[in-house]
Amino acid sequence: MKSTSRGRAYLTKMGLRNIRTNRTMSIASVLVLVSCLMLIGMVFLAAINLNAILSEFNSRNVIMVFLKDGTSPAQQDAVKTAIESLPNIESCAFVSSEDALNRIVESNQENYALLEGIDSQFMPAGFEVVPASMDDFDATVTQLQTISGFVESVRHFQGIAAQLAALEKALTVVGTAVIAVLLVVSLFIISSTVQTTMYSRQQEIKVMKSVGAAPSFIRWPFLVEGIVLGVLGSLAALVVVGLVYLLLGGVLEPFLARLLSGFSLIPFWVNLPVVLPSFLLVGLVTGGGGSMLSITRYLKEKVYETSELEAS
Amino acid sequence: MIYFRDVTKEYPNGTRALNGVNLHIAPQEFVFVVGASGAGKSTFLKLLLHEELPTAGSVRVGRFELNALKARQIPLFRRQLGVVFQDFRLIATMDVYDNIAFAMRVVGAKEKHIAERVHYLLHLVGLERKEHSKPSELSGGEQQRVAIARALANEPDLIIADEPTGNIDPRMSQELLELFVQLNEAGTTIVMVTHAHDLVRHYGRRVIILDNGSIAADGGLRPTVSPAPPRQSMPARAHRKPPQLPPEEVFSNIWKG
Repeated sequence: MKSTSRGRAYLTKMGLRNIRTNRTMSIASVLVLVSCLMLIGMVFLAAINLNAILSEFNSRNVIMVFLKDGTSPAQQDAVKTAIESLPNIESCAFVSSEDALNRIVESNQENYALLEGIDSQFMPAGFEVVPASMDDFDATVTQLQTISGFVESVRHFQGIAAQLAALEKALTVVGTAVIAVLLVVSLFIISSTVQTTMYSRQQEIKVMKSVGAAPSFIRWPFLVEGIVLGVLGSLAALVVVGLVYLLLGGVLEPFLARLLSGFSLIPFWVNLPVVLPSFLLVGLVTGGGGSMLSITRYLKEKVYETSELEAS
Repeated sequence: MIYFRDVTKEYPNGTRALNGVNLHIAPQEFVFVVGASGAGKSTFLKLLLHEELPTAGSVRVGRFELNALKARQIPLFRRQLGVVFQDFRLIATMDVYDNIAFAMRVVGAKEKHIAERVHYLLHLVGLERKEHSKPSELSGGEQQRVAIARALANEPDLIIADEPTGNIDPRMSQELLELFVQLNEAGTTIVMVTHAHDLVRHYGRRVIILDNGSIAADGGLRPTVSPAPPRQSMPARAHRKPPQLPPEEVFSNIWKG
């Protein structure tokens, strides 16, 4: 074994041992990283779930074509054929008065008393039309409105869809900005923590220098320490974020399901391929990079204390 | 071994710590450097360790011309030296063995060789039983002996000691000096900066007196008493305190050679 690799093996062990020896500062560093990553992770998960909710809203942007009262089944078929003959129609489903009432009752179970006097005859029957493309949405609405005869009215939520799209855009920008700010804050806090660790160990660095240790030799155990703490912090943050997500999900899901029937939060494991590498990357960069940045400062310091200068 | 040629060191605040110093320390010499606070002793050491560069003049230690030393050569240069500090400078988290072994690991020595050498050094400084103790579990004298063992780890030709007796009791101080004498007799050059004039007088070696940044005196000091026997054979009760001599006698001794 070459002398350099022999030295590296020893220094790697030394870095690992230092984590245990300086356990208070090690725990502090990991906790800081966990806190920062937890915030970043929660913002990220909230953002992607909001995105999913908005997509869901968008996909449900159907056009309702209500029929006049007393339209016979044959007339209904004629309207359906007319609708299906139009371009840009993906599906066209008949919703009877009873189906319409059932949907309202289902989504308002807690306020059932309010719906007690309502009969299905108050609910107009109609067709639920899903356009194939949102690009030609306005043209499709105009074409549906021109079907003469038995169509009472055409209702759509294009305005809401546009507002939702704008909200989605704003959320993406704000979410990215918040994550970026948190990343910078994390780097700052972690760098400060590492500097505090280094400060308490500058004597050790000075001894290493005085016995002729090369800068790369002095850096190595600190680099190992920083990387290991970074990775430990990332993994701990992942567990914490996962647990918080599960707990919050349990509280929020019934509410979301009511707001958007059938919608459920994106399972945590689905996000793992993105969250795990991102967390590890942040842990490695802040742990390893933070250590390197901080130690460079201390490597420039002299073996002698500055105060000794006055006594010279 | 050591050459100072017209060395002047002036700090940015205008303090002139050394002023045109010329000196030569030959291999295998044992030299005491003495002087009052502010005389230039620390600057002398900083220049020797390449902590500072002279404002004018040049410093050479062994084969290294320190003025022209590149950053990557500094660690190589320091490995040629054994340095002993007043405050011991041991790594608190490492035990005695690892503190000594560390200096050898820095140069990539094999663990088998490290183990042999560290055990030899522990025997030399009389700390075989403290191998696994942490520095905080040792007395001041024991810590200084560990620091000396570390300084000797890579078999340096030159040992630089900065007030090595400053934090230890008189008996330990004398034992430490006896160890230095043995090392010097074995061929190691010793440069010791000290305030302990009684020890300087007792051992009677070359003394360089720094005063206000210049060499006020440089000469051989006649021993006031014959050196004490080696530490191992010296019972505690037989220890004699070094005699206290007035400063003027130190100077007269220097001039008398």
